Amino acid sequence: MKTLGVLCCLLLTAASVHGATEDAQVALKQPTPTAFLEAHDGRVRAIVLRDSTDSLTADEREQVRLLINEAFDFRELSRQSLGDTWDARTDAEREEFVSVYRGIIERQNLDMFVRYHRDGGIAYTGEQIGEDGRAVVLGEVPVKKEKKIIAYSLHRPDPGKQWQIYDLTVDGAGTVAGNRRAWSRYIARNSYEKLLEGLRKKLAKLEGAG
Amino acid sequence: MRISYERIVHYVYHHHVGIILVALAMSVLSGSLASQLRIKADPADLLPDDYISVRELNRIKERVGGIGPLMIVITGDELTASIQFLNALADSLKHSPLLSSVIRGRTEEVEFLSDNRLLYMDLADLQDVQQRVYDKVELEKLKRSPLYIGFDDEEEDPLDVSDLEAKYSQAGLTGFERDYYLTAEGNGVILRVYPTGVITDVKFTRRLLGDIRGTIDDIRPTRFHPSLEVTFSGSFKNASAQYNVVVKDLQSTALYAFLGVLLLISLYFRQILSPLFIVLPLLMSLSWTFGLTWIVIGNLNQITVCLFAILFGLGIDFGIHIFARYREARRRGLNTEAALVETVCHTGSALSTTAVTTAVAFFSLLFSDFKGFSEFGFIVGAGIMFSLVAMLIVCPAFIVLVERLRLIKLQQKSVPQHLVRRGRYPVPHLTLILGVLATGYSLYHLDKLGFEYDFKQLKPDTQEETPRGSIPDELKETRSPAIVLTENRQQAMEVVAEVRRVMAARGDSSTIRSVKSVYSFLPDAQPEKLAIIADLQQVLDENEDLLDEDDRIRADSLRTFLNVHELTLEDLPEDLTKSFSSKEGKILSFVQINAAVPLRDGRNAIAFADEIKKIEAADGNTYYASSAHIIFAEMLELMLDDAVKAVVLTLLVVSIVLLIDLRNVLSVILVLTPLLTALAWVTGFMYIFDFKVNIYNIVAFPTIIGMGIDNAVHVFHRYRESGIGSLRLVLRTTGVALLATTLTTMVGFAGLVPAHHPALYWIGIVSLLGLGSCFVSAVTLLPALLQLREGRGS
Repeated sequence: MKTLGVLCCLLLTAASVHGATEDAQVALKQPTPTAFLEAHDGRVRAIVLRDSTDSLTADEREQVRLLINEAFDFRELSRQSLGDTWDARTDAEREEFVSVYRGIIERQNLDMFVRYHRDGGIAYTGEQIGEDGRAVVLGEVPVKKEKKIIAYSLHRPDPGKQWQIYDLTVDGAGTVAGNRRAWSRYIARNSYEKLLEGLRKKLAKLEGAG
Repeated sequence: MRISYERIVHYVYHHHVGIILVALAMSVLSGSLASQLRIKADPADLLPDDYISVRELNRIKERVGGIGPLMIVITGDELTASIQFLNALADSLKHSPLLSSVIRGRTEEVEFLSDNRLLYMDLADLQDVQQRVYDKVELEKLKRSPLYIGFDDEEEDPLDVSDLEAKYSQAGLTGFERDYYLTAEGNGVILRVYPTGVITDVKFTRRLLGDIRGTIDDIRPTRFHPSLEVTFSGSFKNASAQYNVVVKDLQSTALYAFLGVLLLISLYFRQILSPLFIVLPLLMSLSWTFGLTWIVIGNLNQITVCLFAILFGLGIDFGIHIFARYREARRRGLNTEAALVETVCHTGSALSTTAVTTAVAFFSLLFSDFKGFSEFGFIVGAGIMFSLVAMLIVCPAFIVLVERLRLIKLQQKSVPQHLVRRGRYPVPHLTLILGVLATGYSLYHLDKLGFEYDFKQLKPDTQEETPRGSIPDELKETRSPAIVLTENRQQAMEVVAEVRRVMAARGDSSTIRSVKSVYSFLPDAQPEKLAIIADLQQVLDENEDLLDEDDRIRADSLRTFLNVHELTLEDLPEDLTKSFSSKEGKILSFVQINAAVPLRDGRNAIAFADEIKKIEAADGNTYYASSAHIIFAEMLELMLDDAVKAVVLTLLVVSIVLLIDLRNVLSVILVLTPLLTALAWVTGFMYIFDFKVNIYNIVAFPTIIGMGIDNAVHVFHRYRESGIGSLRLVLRTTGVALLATTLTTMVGFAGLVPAHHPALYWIGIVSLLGLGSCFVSAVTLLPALLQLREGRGS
C-alpha cells in the first residue's frame, strides 16, 4: 500500500516539476483533464529523472514545491474539507488555513516525492466531466501484481485557466471526505482554533526539520 | 318435624350394644377412607381448580416439573474446598435417575457467549464495529494520500473497541466467579440440579432430597474441609419442607388436642372412665367426618389439616354437656334411663340448636371460592353434625353399657346445694359499663388494625438452620418467575413482545424487570449480523497489508470471533436452556417474567399479577401467566373479598337459625349481643398485641361466630328453662359446663399455637382470643342484660 501512496506522490511531483520547468501556457493548452495530467507527467519526469540519485538540489526542491502549488487547488481542497466551518471563516482566516495546509503538504510529502520518484507508471483509464465542469480522471497504478485505482478530482477554478486537482481518492478512500470526517469530529470535540493551532504546530515542526 | 328425643333414648337404652357395634363398623369403614386423604400443602390448593392462574400453574407443573432448579449451597471457610466438594458431588449426582441435569457453574455459558460475542452484540454496536474497521482501513488508505494531514498527538484509533468490550464483558467475573455461581457472601458455591419429577409429587420430592442427602453423606463434606456445610434452596426444597411442616403440624396439633382435652375432662368429671364415654363417640364422629371429606373433597389443605384438633375440641363440648347433665340427673336420684331421657330431651335439644346453628354457619362458607373458607366450612359443618349424632346416640349407648357393667358410680344420697340454689346476677350495671368500655375501646382502634401483606410472614417456619451463604440475586431471579406457557416460537415471541410493550408503556411504574423465553437466548437479527460479520472478514482479509503489526494483532483477535454461524436452540449450552426445559430435558417454549419489585409484599404481588396475568398479544391470542406469587396475590384478593362476605353471611345464618329456635327477635338480639361484643374484643386484643389481620387468621372470624354463639345459646336456653331469678343457678350449672367446654375447645385450638405453619398458628391464636371472649361475654354480659330485663319486667 505504501507503494501506491508513493506512486501518487510521484505523480504529483512529476506534475508539479513539469509545470515548474515548462511554460505555464503549456498546461492551458490541454483541453481535457487527462491530457492535463499526462502533460504534467511528462514535465515532472523530466525534472525528477534528471539525476540518477534520489536527491534533488535546493533549486529542484523549490521547483517541485512550486509545481505542487500550481497543480493543486488547496483553497478548494480546504473549502471542501472544512465544510460548514469554512463558511464561518473570514477571508483572512481562510487564507491562513490554506497557507498552512499547503505548507504542510509541500513539506510533508516532498521527501517522499523525491525518494520514490523513480517508481510508478500510471495509466489513465477514463475520465468523466460533470455538468458543473468538474472532472474525475481514473488512473491505474500497478502495485504488487495488482492494480489499484486512483481517482483524481479536478476542476478549473476560473474559465480559461488550467485544470487543478482538488481531491484524490485512493482505493476508494477520498481525501476530502476523510479530512472532513476527521476534522469535523476534531472541531466538534475541540474547536476550529485548536485545529488550526495543531496544524500550525505541525507546519512549524516540518519547517524546523527542513 | 319435631324430633322425639325420648323415643331415641328408649331405643338407645334397649339397643345400646347394637348401636355401638354399628357405629364402630361405620368408623372402621370411614377410617379406611380417611386414611387415603392426601395433604395438599401448596398455597395454590386454596384457590379453586378452575381459576385460570391455578389451571395454568398446574399445567406448568405438569410440563415443566418444578419451576427453577434445586440449589445445593456449599459453604465453608475454604472456597477451593467447597469447589472440590461441588465437583465431587456433581460427579456422583450426574448419573442419578432422579435428575435430568447437573450444572456446576457457568463456564460453558461464559465461553459460549464469548465465542459468539459478535452475534450477541446489539446490531447497532456490531454496525459500529464494522464502521470502525471501515474507518481504520480508510485511515490507512488516507495516510497514503499526499493530501492527507493527520493529527500527530490525538490521532484516533478506530480499531480500539475497548469501550464495546467493557460494555459486553461480564463485569467483575474473574477467578472462581467466572466459572461458578458463588453465594451472595462469596463464602460458598452453588450446584444446580434439575429433577426429573414434578414438584407436586411429594413422594418423588422426598426421595430426591433423601437421595441427595445420602450422596452428600457418602462423600462426606468434612473430608474436604471441616467447615463445609451443605444446604438446599429452591422450590423443590421449599415444597418438601412445607409438606413436612404440614404433616408434622397435623400430628402435633392432633396429639396436643387429644391429650389436653382428655386431661381436662378427666379433671372436670373426676372420673377415670368418663372420658371414654365422650372420647370414643367423638373419635367415631371424626372418623365419619374425615371419611366423608375423602369422598367429597379428597384432600386436606394447609388450613383444614388442623381440623382434627379443632373438631376434637369442638365436638367434645357436646359430650361434656351430655355427661354433665346426665351426672347431675343421676345425682338427683334418677335411674339410668330416666336420667338419659332428661339429659337428651333438655340438653340434647339445646345442643341440637347450637350444633345446627354452628353447622349451618360453617356450611354457609361453602359459597366462598377461597378453599380456606369453603373446605374448612364443609368439614367443620359436617364434623359438628356427626359429633351431635354421636353424642346423642352413641355416647348414651356407651353410658348404658358402662352403667350395666357397673363400671361407674354416679348416684349420690344428697343433691349438692349449689345445683339447686337460685339467685340473681350480682353486678349487672358494672358488667355492662365494663363491657361497653371494652367494646368502645376495641371499635375505636378497629381501623388501626394492619393487614399483613408480607408473604414471608405467612410462610411456614421450616425450622432449618439459616444457611451461611445466601443465593445471589441473579439466581434468585430465576427461582420464582411467572410463567406463560406457549406452544411455539412465534407465540413465545408474541408474548415477549407484548410484555415488553406493557413495560415500555408503564415506564417506571411497571413492576416487570425482564421477560424472556428460551428464544431470547438466541441473538436477534442474525441474518443481518452474519452479513456484517462476513463483510468484516472480507474487509480485514483484503486490507491486511494496510495494517501494521499492532493492528494486525488486534485484527487477528477480532478475526477469532468472526468464525460463527447462525445459532439455533440446539447450539445453546445447557446452562442457558435448562431453566426452559421439561423434566425430561426437552427444551420448551414458554416465557419467564421476572418482577422488578419484591413480591413478598402482597401489594407488589397484586400489582405484578395485574400487569401480567392476562396477556393479550398482537396475534389475537390471550395468554395467562402464573406463579406462586400470582397465586398468592389472587388468594389475597379473593380472601379480602370473601372474608367480609363470610362474616356477614355466617352472622346472617346464625341469626336466622336463632330466630327459628327462639321465635323472638329480642331474644335473638340478646343472644347475639355477647357474640358481636366478643368479636369486637378480639379486634381490641389484636390491636393491643400488635397482631395484623392476615389471610389465615381471618378464617378464624367465621369460626368464632359459628362456635362462640353456643355459649350464649346454652345460657339463654337454661335460663328460659329455669325461669326468672335463676341466673346464679344457670351460671353455676351451665356456666361451669360452658367453662369446661370452652376450655376443651380452647385446648383444641391451643394445639395449633406451637404449629410451624403460620396458617395453623394464626387460626389458633385468634380463635383462642375469640373463644375466650365469647365465653366471658356469654357468662357476664348476657346474664347482666337478662338481669336488667328481669328488673325492668318486675
